[in-house]
Amino acid sequence: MRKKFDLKSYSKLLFLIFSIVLVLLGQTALGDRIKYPFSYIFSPIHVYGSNVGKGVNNWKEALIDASSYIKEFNDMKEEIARLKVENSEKLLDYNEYLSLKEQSTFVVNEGKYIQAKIISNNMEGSILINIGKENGVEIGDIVILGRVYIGMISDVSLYSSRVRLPLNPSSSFEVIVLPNSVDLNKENRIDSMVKSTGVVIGKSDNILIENMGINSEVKDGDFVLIRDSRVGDILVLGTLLGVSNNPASTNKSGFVSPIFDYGNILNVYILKK
Amino acid sequence: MIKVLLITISIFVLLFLESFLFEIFSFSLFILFVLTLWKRINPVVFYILITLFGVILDSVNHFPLGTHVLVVSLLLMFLDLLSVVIPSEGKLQYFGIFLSISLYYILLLVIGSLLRDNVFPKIDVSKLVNILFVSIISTFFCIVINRLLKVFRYEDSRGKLSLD
Repeated sequence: MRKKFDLKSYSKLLFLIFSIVLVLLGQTALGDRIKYPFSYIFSPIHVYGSNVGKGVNNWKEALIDASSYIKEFNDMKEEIARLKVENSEKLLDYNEYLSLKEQSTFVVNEGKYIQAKIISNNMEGSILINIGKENGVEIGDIVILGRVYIGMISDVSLYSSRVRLPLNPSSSFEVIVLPNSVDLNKENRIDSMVKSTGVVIGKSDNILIENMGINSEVKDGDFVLIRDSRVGDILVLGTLLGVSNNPASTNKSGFVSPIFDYGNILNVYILKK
Repeated sequence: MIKVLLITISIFVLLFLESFLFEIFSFSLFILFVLTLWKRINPVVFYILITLFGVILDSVNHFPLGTHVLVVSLLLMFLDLLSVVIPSEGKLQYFGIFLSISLYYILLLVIGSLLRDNVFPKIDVSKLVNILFVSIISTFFCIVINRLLKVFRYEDSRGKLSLD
């Protein structure tokens, strides 16, 4: 007797086939079109939920670190008392003036900036920001803070975008290494000061720099600047760290310490040309 | 009509809670939702709901389309295979649930990264510890939900018996 075909017993297999088809569909241009209405309707809820979660998270971290805050508070009280004795108020004002002056010269003058807030940074080498297509953000746009490179837009929906950080394993750029004595605000012609060129690759936890000239005199603390056609401007990535010293090697490698801890940034700017 | 309205409101509430809890504890409500509804509602309705919620999560979290649905479908296959080794009734079933939840987080990390960036993600000890911790909490919630459902069913059946 022939067995009757039971759809229910094959439902999981059919669902797996359907999911594979959906994934393949997602790799085509149709994928974005399918996601668009969902993103339009549900992104505000997601952003609101994430922001509320972030608020609660801040309180949670503050409570966990309460003892360190008390210690910090006491240290600060002592510090303030000492500063008052030394009459350093004027010095502080002067330092503030200097840092503001420095910040104003840091900004890249060409192009238009769009300010964005970071929604979450718990993804693998990437962050989510709160602006998207509605604000004119496009895939490939550069995200900066001052003259420092933060990342590149890799995915855009209506109200949010994903920024691929240099830590991301799929992120790689051509860079140049400059001595740390260079004042990046004053120097316009940096070509003559380039110690070496190289390539940076994200490794999730750190940024690897490779292919630096074996005869170049690069050392720890040197500036690493991105000079890549995809980025356009020359932007600061970080400082050089742990340069290899193997005479048998044909090139030097090391790590790049980013200027900012990407987990602590709150606002970024998207450079529109 | 009232069911459609209820499902729509539930999706909004679930999405809010998913985003909220994920931000605080990296805890996913979606997997709890899958494991609670699995074999408890009509399979067709189950697959439609999972696909819908999966696509929503893909859209808002910038995952490639179908990532969550693929992970769930693989997980259901895994649950089936697991039922051969671990009984699906009794206290041992929670060990299977724990394994499934852990696998969900690992698969989401791996498949998400492979589809999005074409690279295999780095899974270090701290990540694994975090996944295990979240999986234990999720399993605990599963136990609570199962117990609650059993209590409600018992109350319901007791009421029917008394009527007879």
